[in-house]
Amino acid sequence: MHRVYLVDDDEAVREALAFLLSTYGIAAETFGDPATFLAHVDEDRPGVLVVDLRMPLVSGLQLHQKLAERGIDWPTIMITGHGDVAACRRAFKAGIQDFLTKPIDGEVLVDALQQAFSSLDAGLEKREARALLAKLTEREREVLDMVARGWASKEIAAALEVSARTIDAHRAKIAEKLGTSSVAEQVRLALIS
Amino acid sequence: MTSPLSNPRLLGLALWLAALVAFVAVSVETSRTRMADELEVTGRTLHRLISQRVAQHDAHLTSLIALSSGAEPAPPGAIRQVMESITRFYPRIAWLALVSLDPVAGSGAGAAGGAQGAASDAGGEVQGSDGAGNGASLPAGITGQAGAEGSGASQPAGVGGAEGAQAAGDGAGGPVAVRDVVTVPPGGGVDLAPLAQEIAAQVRGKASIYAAGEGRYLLAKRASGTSHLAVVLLIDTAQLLVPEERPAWAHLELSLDGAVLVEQPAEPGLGLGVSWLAVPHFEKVIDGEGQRLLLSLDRALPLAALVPPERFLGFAAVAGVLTLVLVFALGQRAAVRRSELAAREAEERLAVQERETRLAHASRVNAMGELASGIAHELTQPLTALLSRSQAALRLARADTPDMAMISGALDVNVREAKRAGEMLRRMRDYASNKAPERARQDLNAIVAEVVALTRTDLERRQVALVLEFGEPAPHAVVDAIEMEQVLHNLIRNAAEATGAGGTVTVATGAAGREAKLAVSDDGPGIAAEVLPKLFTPFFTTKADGMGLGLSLCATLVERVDGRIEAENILGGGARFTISLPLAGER
Repeated sequence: MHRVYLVDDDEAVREALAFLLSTYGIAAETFGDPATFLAHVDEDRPGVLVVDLRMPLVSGLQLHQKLAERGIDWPTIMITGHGDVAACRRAFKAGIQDFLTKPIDGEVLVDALQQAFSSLDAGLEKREARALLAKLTEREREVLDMVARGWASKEIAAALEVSARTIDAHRAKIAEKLGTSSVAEQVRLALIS
Repeated sequence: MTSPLSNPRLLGLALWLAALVAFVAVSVETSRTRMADELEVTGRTLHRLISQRVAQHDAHLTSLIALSSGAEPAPPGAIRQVMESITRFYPRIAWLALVSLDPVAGSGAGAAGGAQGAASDAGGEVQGSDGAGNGASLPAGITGQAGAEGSGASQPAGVGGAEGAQAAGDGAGGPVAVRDVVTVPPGGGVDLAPLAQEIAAQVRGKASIYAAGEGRYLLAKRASGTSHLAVVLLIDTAQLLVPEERPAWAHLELSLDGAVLVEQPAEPGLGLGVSWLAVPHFEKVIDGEGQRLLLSLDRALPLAALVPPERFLGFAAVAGVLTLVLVFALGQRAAVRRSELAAREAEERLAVQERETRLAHASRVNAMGELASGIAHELTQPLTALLSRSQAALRLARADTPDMAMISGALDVNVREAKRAGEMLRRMRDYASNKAPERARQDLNAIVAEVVALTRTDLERRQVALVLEFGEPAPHAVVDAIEMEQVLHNLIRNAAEATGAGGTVTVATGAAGREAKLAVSDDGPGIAAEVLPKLFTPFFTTKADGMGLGLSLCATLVERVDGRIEAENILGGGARFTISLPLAGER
């Protein structure tokens, strides 16, 4: 179950979108202005952001930046009444997931959300993988990279000019730290990070 | 239009007076000329009549002399008969006498001198100036008269002189005695004795004239040859003319040698002559065989004759009527011109208003362009909500067990949203419409709310905060709602531009006395002192891309509804524009 945070200063738009998403079984938390959202946002409750580009005081892009400063890089879908190219370009340069112009077709929004959910998941996985890989020593990381390239333990030992036993010991340590003895899973973690 | 002549009545009066003066002048001149001509004609006529009549006297003298002293002298009885018939036919001949001037033998110069003196007494008027000191020689008066006659065409001086010498010879210088031969009527007439000497000295066959007093004169003629006879006529000068022959207006005088014989004044009823015109005068000597009478005619010029009152009054009346007609016509023409002018002014005013209305419309359309993105946003919001909620409702409706309550709830909200969008569209359409201004009592708070709805997004984009201070109860004024919105929009936009991002624009409504007030203020830098007086001047602008028509148009639109607009700087920064309109009371 993915969360959606909807930030729009227009109450009617906010409620209608939330209502629409509810029919897709997507729960959306709504906020009337960026400040309220910033005050409520919880890093441990990731979700996809649907933000109006133009709002008084703090714009959608500014909100996106403020979140990034706090290390929150959840996918953001920018919605706007003005589909002008300049705003669109700025949005994508800032790392926006998607850019939709009002009025928004329900299907399009849901599609965009699905993609966003995927990237949110991917992002979370990547974050997780990084956290696991961060536990490895430098040598262990070196060994994992070689494993990921498909090298056998002997080849790795030869390359690193150590004994094969030592390599095996490293690999046991890696399996322990990454929480998986599956080479395939280890390789996936190494690749997505 | 400052000349008093531009007043048709005064002009008419002046024209009328001028016409009267001209009439009087022309009338005086023509009347005077006519009267003078009349006098001249009358004078000539009378002169001819008198001349003919005095000529008859000479004829009588001649015929009587011929009768009495011809080759066969008629008996005195016959002469008397002739004389009597003459007096009968000619009443002016008062007395006829056939006398004999017999020399007095042995009488001396002294006697002659005495006679001379008597003559001087008798003919005093004629000879008074000459009589004294004249001796036996010819009296100066006679000589003078002969001389004067000599200067006439009929008798050369030389002949007169010769005859004078002959007469002196005839008279032999001795005294003569007058002996009446025949007199008619007998015993009438005058004593000829004093004149005897003079008559005796006359040239024979030539009549001489003597004053005889009482308006009469004597005409004497000596018989020719050596006869001592002479015929004398006593003529009543006044009867030379029949009274009817003299016009009543004529002042006639007949004089002999400067002495008036008869004077017939003009009829007094004709009035006194005016003193400022030369009186017409006629004077001519009667040229009748020694009867040197001077005829003089005068004519007084009474005002009534110069300017006949009835004609003057008639002319004044006609001129007055014409002047009144002229004044009326002028008045009509002026009135027509005034009404034409008023019509043209009204037309021009209408044209100006139309231009202003077109300009106002163009300005609104222009503003609408500026507002377009904001308004599109305003419309996008309800549309977004509508679309999303509709799709949601559709999904609900297509579910196996449709939640009708939720669907109808969604539709309810949708209807509200659609109306909100429609309202926005109406506002836009109204604002950009080109319909003729329509004045009606309007709620100024509502007008402010409309403008705010149109400009809110624009202000948000500019990041300018808007503060509304609505006066309660809402002030009302008779205005065109759209034009008033336009004025407010202009002021709000100017204020937003002045204060810039982060600033605040305040719109306040209220009432003060009999005026409704609309104030738009900002917390910007205020208005420069040198700009303040020129703010509402057309084409004055401080903006790089401005036309300078915004505020001037605002002033025009406000003044159209009898309001005014003022700008001032607020103490502590910022500017305030205040619109004052006549407060419209409760209906």
